[in-house]
Amino acid sequence: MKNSLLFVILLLLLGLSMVVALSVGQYPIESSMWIAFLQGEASDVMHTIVVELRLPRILAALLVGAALAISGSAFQSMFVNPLVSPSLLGVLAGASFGAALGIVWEQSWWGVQFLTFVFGALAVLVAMGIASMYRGGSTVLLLVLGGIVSSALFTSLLSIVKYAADPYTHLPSIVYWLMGSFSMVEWDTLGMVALPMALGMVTLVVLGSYINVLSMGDEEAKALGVNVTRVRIIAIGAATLISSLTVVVAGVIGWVGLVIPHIARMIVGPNNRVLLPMSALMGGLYLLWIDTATRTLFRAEVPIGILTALVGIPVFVLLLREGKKGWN
Amino acid sequence: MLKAHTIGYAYAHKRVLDGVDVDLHAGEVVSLLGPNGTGKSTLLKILMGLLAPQEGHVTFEGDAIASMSPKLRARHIAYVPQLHTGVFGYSVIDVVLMGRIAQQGLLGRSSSQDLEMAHSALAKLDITHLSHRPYTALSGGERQMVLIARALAQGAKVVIMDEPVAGLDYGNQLRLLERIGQLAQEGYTFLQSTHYPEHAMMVSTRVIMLKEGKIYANGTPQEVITAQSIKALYGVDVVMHRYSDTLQLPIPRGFA
Repeated sequence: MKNSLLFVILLLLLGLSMVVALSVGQYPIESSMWIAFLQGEASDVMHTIVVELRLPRILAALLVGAALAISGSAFQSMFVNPLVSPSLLGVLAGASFGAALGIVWEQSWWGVQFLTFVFGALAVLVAMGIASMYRGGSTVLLLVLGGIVSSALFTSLLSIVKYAADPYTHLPSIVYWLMGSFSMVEWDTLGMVALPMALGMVTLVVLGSYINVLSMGDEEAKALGVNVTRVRIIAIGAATLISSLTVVVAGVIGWVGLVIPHIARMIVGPNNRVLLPMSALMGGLYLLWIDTATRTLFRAEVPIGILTALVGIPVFVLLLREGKKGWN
Repeated sequence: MLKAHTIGYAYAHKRVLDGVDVDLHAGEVVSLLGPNGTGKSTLLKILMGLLAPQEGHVTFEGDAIASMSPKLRARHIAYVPQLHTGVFGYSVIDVVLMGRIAQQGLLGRSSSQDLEMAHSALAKLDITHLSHRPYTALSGGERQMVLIARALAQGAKVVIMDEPVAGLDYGNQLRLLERIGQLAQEGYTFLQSTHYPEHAMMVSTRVIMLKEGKIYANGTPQEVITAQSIKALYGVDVVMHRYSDTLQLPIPRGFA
């Protein structure tokens, strides 16, 4: 009951935030203009700004924030460790390498996005492949080690690409991409990623009870009748899909997948059936606010990855100090 | 009910189980005694179907557990692990409800019947008042009671426990053993590994002793727990003190 009330409040806040985000910016929209817009009498400029520029960007921020937060929460539960983030298995490192490769090869925008996704997924496969080479022992630990190796591998490959990139054209694009931004979002991109991202998130929410059981450790989960390997592969697959698509949409955005799950867990507790949808909602809201700040706070737009880190780090430190409610 | 036939298992050249037969009957409390590293935990894992034996096989009421789905197996056999703190502070009722996951559909939604089973399991162990406390904030004794409640909610008749009293204080150890005895009266079957011959003597109807991967002794606690068998298992000299026909406790020779 208490939780459903919270959901309703956050949804209302979300609606309100969207209206504010649509209105603010270099071309502010006042209430009289909104009235005209609703009556179908808006100027072409306003129409372009609201419908073609701000709306897809806002929806992308919501989607990416939700995806990063929900996969962070799912990863923390699955790996029985509240300090891991979606990048644990190397998905962000792989996706970054893919994007850099696409930029250097002068691929079309679609080509860059395709390579981003493929290498994000490939990095996770490498991590899981390394983990599966060794039988016995703790599967969770092996996956974490596989993720470290895979992340390191793709980070060094990224360095090679950066080193070889043309310093006047390609390198700045790569660096900019790695800091994250929603300024390139268009309806086309959004239309392509929205469905798979939504499906991935729904999959994780549906698996909530199973992820709860996985967080008690593999042996207990097996004894409770859960097919641990199957659930883990599906959940990792869904989380990998949505986190690599966040890189496709907006580059690399850190800290959301670590900080938001903590805040959500402090508020609603660790039960993933509630925690996962709550993380998605709070993650979307948070990234919408941050993205709105990146394009309004300063004269020039700040890459969003910088702001999420600058805001996320102190918040995280405070959270740790405030006590570790919901985990031990 | 649960039967293991000539089980053999080896970890990378170290043989831990060799031709082990175990047969559990309904309502029994069986204690598994043996020194460290003698394969007790491995045997329990094999009996639960968590580990496939390299030789032999395990059956539940005649059906091989290796060919059962994990869900079906979980409806027959439950597991109470060694005391652990857990990482996430699920409420006690959520932890007990995890026992129902094998009975739930793909969506893992708890039905009213699931909730009822969870509540009655909590009531059976007299821990209803803990329902909404975070699991991680409980004392060790309370946590073990919650895990036993989860095993009952699972609907399994056989409960396998790996050193359930390890890490508990003296009072909680005895309260847990007492509770196991009561549940056995109601028809539940328990198999526990333990390092305490005294506990095996007090609570079990049968004792199995493992030594170097083989069954050293198998019988009533009064027959099996003797000064010779304790010397053979643990290499210590004890004197058996007889209090009644059913209760004889070992006291180390130096203190006797």
